[in-house]
Amino acid sequence: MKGLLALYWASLRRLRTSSWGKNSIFMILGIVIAVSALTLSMILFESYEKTLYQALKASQPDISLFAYDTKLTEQNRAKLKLILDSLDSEIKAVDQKLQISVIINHDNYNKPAFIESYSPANINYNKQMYSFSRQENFALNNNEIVLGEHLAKELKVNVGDDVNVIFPSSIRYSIFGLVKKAEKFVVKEIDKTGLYEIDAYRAIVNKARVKQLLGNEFSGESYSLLLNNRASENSRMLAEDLNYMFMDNLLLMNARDLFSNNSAVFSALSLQKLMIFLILCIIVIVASFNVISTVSTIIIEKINEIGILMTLGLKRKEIKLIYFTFALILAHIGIILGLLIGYGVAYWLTHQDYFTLKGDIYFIEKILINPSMSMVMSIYGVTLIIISLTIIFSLRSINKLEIINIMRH
Amino acid sequence: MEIIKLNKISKSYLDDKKRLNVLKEVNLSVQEGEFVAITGASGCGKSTLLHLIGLLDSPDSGEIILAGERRDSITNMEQFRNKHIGFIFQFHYLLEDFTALENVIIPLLVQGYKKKDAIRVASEVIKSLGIGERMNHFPNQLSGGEEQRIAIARAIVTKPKILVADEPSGNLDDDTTQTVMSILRDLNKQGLTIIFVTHDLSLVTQQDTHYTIKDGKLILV
Repeated sequence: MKGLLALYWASLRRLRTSSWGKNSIFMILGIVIAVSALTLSMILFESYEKTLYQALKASQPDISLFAYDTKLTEQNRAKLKLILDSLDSEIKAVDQKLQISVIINHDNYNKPAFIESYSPANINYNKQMYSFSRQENFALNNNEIVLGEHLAKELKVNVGDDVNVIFPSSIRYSIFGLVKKAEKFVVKEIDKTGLYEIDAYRAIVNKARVKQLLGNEFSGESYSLLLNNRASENSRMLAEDLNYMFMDNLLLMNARDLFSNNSAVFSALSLQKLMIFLILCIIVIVASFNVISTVSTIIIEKINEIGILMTLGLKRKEIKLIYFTFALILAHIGIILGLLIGYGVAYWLTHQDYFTLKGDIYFIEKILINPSMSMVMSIYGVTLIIISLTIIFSLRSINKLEIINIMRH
Repeated sequence: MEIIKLNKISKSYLDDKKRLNVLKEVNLSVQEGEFVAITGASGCGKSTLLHLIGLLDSPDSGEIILAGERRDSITNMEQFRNKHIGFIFQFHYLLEDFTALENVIIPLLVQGYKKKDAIRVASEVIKSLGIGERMNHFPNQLSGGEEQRIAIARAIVTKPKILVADEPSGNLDDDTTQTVMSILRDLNKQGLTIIFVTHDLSLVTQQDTHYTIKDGKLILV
């Protein structure tokens, strides 16, 4: 049996001229189209999910702490410090965040934005969260501002330009007209996190200056934590631990990890991914009808071959095994080609500049292609199972063939 | 030694709700090394008898004994066929996707031969039939006579005890028919038992055991 399988295997090199080759072109083509569509969609989906996660991680802390009261008392601040000190081995950096909603103006352009505080001394935090701060001797003076890439683009400003920061809460009507508080800043850097929501609305200003601007106004006290091990599971567990500690210490604070902060996005993505996978599996099933028709045609065309193999001493199940192996090898060509084409198209789509995603809808504009081996293997496995079952189903007709009828035929 | 024995074999077919009794209580005894020619009109049951002897079909009643084994007691029919019976048909039925040599090694590979050994044995058989230089050609590159000789090589490569030939010259011109017949007779001289079905009486010689089928009965001529 092995020798005979090897003989059929060797005949593959003559596939172009063989009857299998002629009949199986459309079968392989159907599989290629279905598998490449499945691969393309799944790679784009998974890469989108990963790119989004990377962008979120690059622009958001692992854990955010919010005080339910607008401002913590000194006593509560001390309690919080004790709690965070007790987790010193897990926490890499803590930064108190101050935020102000503002309008940024440049020439005739006005854009709503929020200012985030930058603590020059918190090197560990800054180097992790702000790529611009990794420059040697980087300093952000009191009159300097960092703008997100899209924010700068929409305001049409470049590094070195002046912008006016207007505080909406300060706008008053007076007998002299509209009075507003505005501060002038020089653009020090353009920041790019890859996450549209951040790059289109965030401006970063020295913390001392933010405190000065806030004066007595305090919209809410919050802290950002970076962990030593930035695995998502760790941040989720640590956020839960922190919430228990806050309860035990009667501290009115809430800890939320990166995933909880963006849970709606990730659960929608997972659901979409599953749905797309199921829909595309149906395409593979449709392609497998093509396999049924091809294998059935081959059986009809090769009825004499089947008959002669039976007279030469082969059992039906052995003939089915030979044909199954042969059809599976051909299907494999389709699956592998489909995987490569799907990957190739996905690679091209993520490396071209003709079509980009709309950041305000998709959060990110560019997907970094990054398929996981488990995803590729699952596409390979699912298609292989579906096609194998289809081939087995098609080969059942050999059971009904009677050798004597074949030889008369 | 008696190699084929048929005892009261009957076979019928259902044809348009009408049962046709093709063979009626046929008896046959063939000795090892015998050349048996079976003739008769078209549709008289020659091929049916051959298919029964070749274990390709089963009788309605009666007993078949081949190489000392009763048909009913053969547990692995395919293996028995591969080992003891070679087939030649009117159409060569060579597998198109394989070369002549590959076609001939198939029965040996089924028997479990290694490909290298199978090629050695098959090459010798093909050469002995005078078409050694054509063994690497595909069936569509061979003439009708060459194709039938390759079919004979495939039938005898496993050294079967019985060769069953169903109108082997039915599709060949006169010259090629003579070549094929002389090959069969040479094989018979070497001890191979041949059961040969034809409607062409000129192919039957006086040395052959000649039967004809009439009204479902096998009659010694």
